[in-house]
Parts: sequence; C-alpha cells; structure tokens
Amino acid sequence: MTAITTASSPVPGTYTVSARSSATTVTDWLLVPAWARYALVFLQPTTIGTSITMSFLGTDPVALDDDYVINLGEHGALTAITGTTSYMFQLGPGVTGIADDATIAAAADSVASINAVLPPILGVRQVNSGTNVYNMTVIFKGK
Amino acid sequence: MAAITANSLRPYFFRSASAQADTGQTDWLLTPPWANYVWIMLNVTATAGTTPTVTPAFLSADPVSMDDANVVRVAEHANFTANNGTAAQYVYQIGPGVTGIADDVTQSATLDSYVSLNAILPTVLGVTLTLDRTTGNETYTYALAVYFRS
Repeated sequence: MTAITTASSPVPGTYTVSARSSATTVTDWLLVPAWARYALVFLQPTTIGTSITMSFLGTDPVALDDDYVINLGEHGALTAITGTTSYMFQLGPGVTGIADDATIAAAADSVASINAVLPPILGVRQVNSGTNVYNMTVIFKGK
Repeated sequence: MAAITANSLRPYFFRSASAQADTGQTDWLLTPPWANYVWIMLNVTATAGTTPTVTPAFLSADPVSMDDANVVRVAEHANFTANNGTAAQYVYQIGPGVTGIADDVTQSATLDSYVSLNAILPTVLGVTLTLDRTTGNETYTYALAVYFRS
C-alpha cells in the first residue's frame, strides 16, 4: 500500500518525460484537467533492455492509495514492447466508435484505443524489464 | 414517495462511509449543464456481518415533480450483480456513445469491474447504493466518488 502522489497540481494539458531511464515499475499519476475528454499518450523507446509493458489506471480519488486501482476501461494486458518503435494510445469515451483496440505489436509502430471516460486521476504505468530509455508524452484534449 | 433534494451543482461528489449500518441511500446530483459524461468509482474496502451485499443503481428523476416515485433507471439498465462483501473496486461510466458499442452491465460480485452505459446524462442523477441488512449485523466501509466530465 503506497499513497498516491500526483505529478503536479494542476497538471496542464501536456505531461512529458524525456529520456527516462528505468529498470523498475514507474507510475505517473496525473490529475486530469476538468475540461479534458480525451488523452493521447505517445511512447517512444530509444533503448530497450528487455521490455516495457504499459497500462492505464484509474484510482479511488478518496483513498488515494495504489492498492485501489483498476485498469482503465477494464483493458486487458497490453503486449510487452521490445522494439524501439513508436506507440500511441488514445483514451476517451467513444474514441473508436466501435470496440476497444488494445492490440499493439511488440516491435512495430502501433496505436491502441480504449473507450473510457477519463478518471479524475490517470495512472500511466510503465513496467520496465531490463533498463529501458524512453520519451513519453501525455496530451489531454477537450471536446 | 419522498421529495428529492439534490446536491448543489458541482462537478464532483464524494461519500466516505465507515462501518455504515443501514440500508443505504440515493445521492441525488444535479448534472452540470456542460457535462456529457460521468465517471463513478465505488471502492468497497471492508464489510462485516452475515450477508453483506452492495447493489448500485443509477436513476433519472422527473426534474419537475422532484419526487422519488417518478424515476427511471438510466439507460433502462437491468439489475447489477451485487458485490458480496468482498473488497473490490468498481467503475461506472455513463455517457452517450461511451463504449462505441453496446452497454456493458456485467460486473463481478468479487472482482474489480467496469460497467458502461450509453446514455445521455439526466438533469438529476440518482446514485443508489442498496446495502443488505437482512440479519441486522451487516456493516459497510466504502468510498464513492462521482466526477462529471465535459
């Protein structure tokens, strides 16, 4: 059980990490702006140790405890990324018009889509195996 | 039949209950005019007693009479599976075209679950939590959070 601390308050429309080097699990907790309907997450690995596995989380905003999280849109496990290819994740209500597309390739450019209302606090989790280096940007969009 | 008193107009609502020992309640919320979607999280953290169950429902009230005899379930949703007292997290997302396809009203009694209702938000949204008190010894500790989104 670990208390959740958001990245900053308030987070503006864009959150970026540049050349993050990590061999552990990192979760960026972002306060979602009240006006935001969608989020675009761009992940660009530049060095892959073994793999990066992404997930997107909602948490109980009352408890603010990472014991109480749930995958956004109840999405299944995303394929671990093993290449220095480009990935975009689009999150929001009705973003695809049809069912979720949670399929990404391990080592080819991919886009994933999750139909879900954004939670008040969005967790962007990167499970790093080996030491990975990557850029990541989260952009919130209004209607 | 009882008059509905809605909470003041605001973009969020919290309820935090510790060992609540009654049959639950309906929180009536005025939906902000700019809101298209709502994100609701129910976090059942502890229960006690013989048959603890938590059953949520989402209601639309007649905004003229403001009487709880005049309500309809949002998106005409069916009964949800009740949480059986096991600690679990539930998210309910409601809004037009939220899933892109059909509603998803399947939730687990024991596991984290998401429920999606494709519906335009009502003017007055009722969030009901029905708590079982069959034996009279059931208590409930939980958090409820409601966030409206544009």
